[in-house]
Amino acid sequence: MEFFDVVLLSRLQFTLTAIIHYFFVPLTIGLAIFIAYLEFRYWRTGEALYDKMARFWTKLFLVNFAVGVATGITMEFQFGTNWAAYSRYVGDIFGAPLAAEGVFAFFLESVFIGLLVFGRDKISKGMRFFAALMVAIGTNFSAFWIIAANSWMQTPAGYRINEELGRAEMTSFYEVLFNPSTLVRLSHVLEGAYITAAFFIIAVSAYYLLNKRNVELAKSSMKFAVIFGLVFALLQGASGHSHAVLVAETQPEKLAAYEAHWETEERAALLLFAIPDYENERNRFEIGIPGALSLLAHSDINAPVTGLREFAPEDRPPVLGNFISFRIMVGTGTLIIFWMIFLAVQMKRGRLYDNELVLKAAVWLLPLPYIANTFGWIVAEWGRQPWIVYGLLRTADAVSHLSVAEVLISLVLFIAIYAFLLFLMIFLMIREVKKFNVDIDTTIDRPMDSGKEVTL
Amino acid sequence: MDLNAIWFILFGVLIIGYAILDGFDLGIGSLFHYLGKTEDEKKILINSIGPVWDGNEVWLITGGGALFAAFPFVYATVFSGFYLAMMLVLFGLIFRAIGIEYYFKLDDDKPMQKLMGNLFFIGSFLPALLFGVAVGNVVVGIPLDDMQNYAGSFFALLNPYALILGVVGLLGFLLQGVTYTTLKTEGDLQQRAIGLTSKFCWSLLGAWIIGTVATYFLAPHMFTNLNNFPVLFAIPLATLLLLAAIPVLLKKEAYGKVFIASSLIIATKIITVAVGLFPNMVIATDPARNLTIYNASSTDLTLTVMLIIALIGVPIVLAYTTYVYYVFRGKATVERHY
Repeated sequence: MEFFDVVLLSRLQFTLTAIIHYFFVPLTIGLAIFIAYLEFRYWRTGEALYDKMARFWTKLFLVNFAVGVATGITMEFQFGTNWAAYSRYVGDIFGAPLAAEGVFAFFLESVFIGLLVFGRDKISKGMRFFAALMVAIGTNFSAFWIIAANSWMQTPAGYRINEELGRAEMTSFYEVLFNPSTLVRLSHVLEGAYITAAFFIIAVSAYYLLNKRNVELAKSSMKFAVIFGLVFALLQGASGHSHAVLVAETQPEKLAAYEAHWETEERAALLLFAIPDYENERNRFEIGIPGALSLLAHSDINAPVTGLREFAPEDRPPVLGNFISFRIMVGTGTLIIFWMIFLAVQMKRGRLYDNELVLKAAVWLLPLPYIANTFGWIVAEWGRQPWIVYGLLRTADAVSHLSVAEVLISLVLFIAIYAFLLFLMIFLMIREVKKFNVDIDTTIDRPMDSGKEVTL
Repeated sequence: MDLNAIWFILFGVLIIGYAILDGFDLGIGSLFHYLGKTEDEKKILINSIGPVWDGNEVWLITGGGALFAAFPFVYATVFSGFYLAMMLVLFGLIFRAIGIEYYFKLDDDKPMQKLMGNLFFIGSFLPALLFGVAVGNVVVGIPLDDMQNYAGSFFALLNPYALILGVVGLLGFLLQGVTYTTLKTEGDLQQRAIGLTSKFCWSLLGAWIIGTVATYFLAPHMFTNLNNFPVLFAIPLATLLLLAAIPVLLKKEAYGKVFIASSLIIATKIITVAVGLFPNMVIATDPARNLTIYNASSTDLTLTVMLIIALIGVPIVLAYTTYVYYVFRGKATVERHY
């Protein structure tokens, strides 16, 4: 059982559960805003189309939200179940944002989503908008607390170490929440979420336009999503850059691992391809653009960029995996920006809604933001290794006192259950999209198969 | 009263809030096939909790967060110590969420819909039983090593005392489920729920007495505070009186009051445990290793910050939760809402 140790298994389990959970979160965050916007328009204009659109997108929102809720509890429980030593070490700091998330964000989204879905006919249009707004605020606010907590693990601040109890203790809640990386990372994450929602709305709308169904709904949704997606894709380019600059400053070995950059040097090259040679602490082979890394990280082509050799081998993040993952994230991110610009130009020229090739591509490119989000989290967390709290606590020292068998059992069950959830969710999502017909679907509030005629 | 005691109480409030509100969701889920004989009845049951179950579950999530923040050593010891049991609770809650949310979506795919119903059932039953089992272990005492890690096995958690408390907890949730069903339904379904109410009431009374006697012999430390302040005996006594009141109220068809009595029974059961434990939170086989509200807590600064968060946040939560329950007053229907 040498190969399977509790640390490795617990890390695999966290990776799996976090990635699958984050499969659902960005869409929830972004789509909630679109729904609130639609409810607002319906409230102000009273136009039936906005009502239909709000109902339709809420339907899809719910399919996604259900699994988001189900997989979300795991995240909160898991710190205690698998990372007890971590929980003891950081509980004084890390628990508060989680509890605050519950009080200020989870309650808001969970209570008002019930009102929005089940209460449509019981409340006024204005109240419906208010409920949708609260769901949107709840989901977005939730991101703030979680990113604040996670950013504290990257760039800890506002604490002191209590040697006697062997833990970190809070000295300033403000500094914990607004630690050096919180706001940059929050904007990076939220923009990623909005882009995900935009891609989703565009893909579903494109499907309808291709099939000449629900055309009015699809056009109107797509118009919003293209503008929404373009704005945040452009912003994402900027915030991605400032994030990298911040990492260079606060976690230099993390950036060095992303870039497979061994030697501290001026005019550091940005590598496009590299094969790291761990033994000799260099790359066996590399192709790069001279000076580009210095320019990107420090806005100066001649600035020195810290290399991995400055750090003891046991303090270095894994290089190859981070190097590749970082390139996948940046690569898909760049593709997303160009694609959004292209779509916007097509829309401006009035060629978007009937261009079969572009619409087909819009459907098939839906995985792009999901890939970018996933690898974004992989580099954020993997690049922080071997630390669980940067510079303070090692991942290997953070794990619970468990047996290999226990974690293996839970990991296998998680794989089975999450695979089922993922399959079920995608199956239902596709089915909902396929069978929805804006002219006959009465959606929320009336029995599906009542047979009686309904006026919308 | 110090901050640690205040947080002990606030944590208790969150748990009571959870147990009362999600209690009827868990109860209905555990009795899903038994209460809902026809397809329509099953749909009505799902709709009766559909708008509110998710918000109810947030009480648990917030309670978990509060435990992590206020008493991190308890959170770490209990969650890791009861590892496989916690996983079962977790899987249960995952199944339940999917079962409820996807039930109507699979209306035209009967085998899948049946599976969703079963997930709802098992996902409710497991947590409803295991919450009490966990309390039983914390109360009777668990082996902890010098690093505060649980030193026993998974099967040791299923000891007779813990199972008795598991049944006491389960019956409380079942009672909560049927009294809520009585309020939200009509006709056969309602009559079935009413019939079950008195059965669960008597069963709970029996289990509660067995639990109390078992506690007297196996966990005598739970009586220390009661003996020192005999006025506190009013709390377990209240549980008994409320149990006795339910058959009377049932006869008067005062179903709203029956539901309130059932909710108060859940509250007084939890308060009884809390009073018995105080100032301990986890009893260890070696009393020197007990986790208390002092040796397991966060710093005063964190407790203060959290108190401010709670004082601002919880009243707002209560206000809009009350409003939403008000909107959904009255009987549940069979219609699909999404």
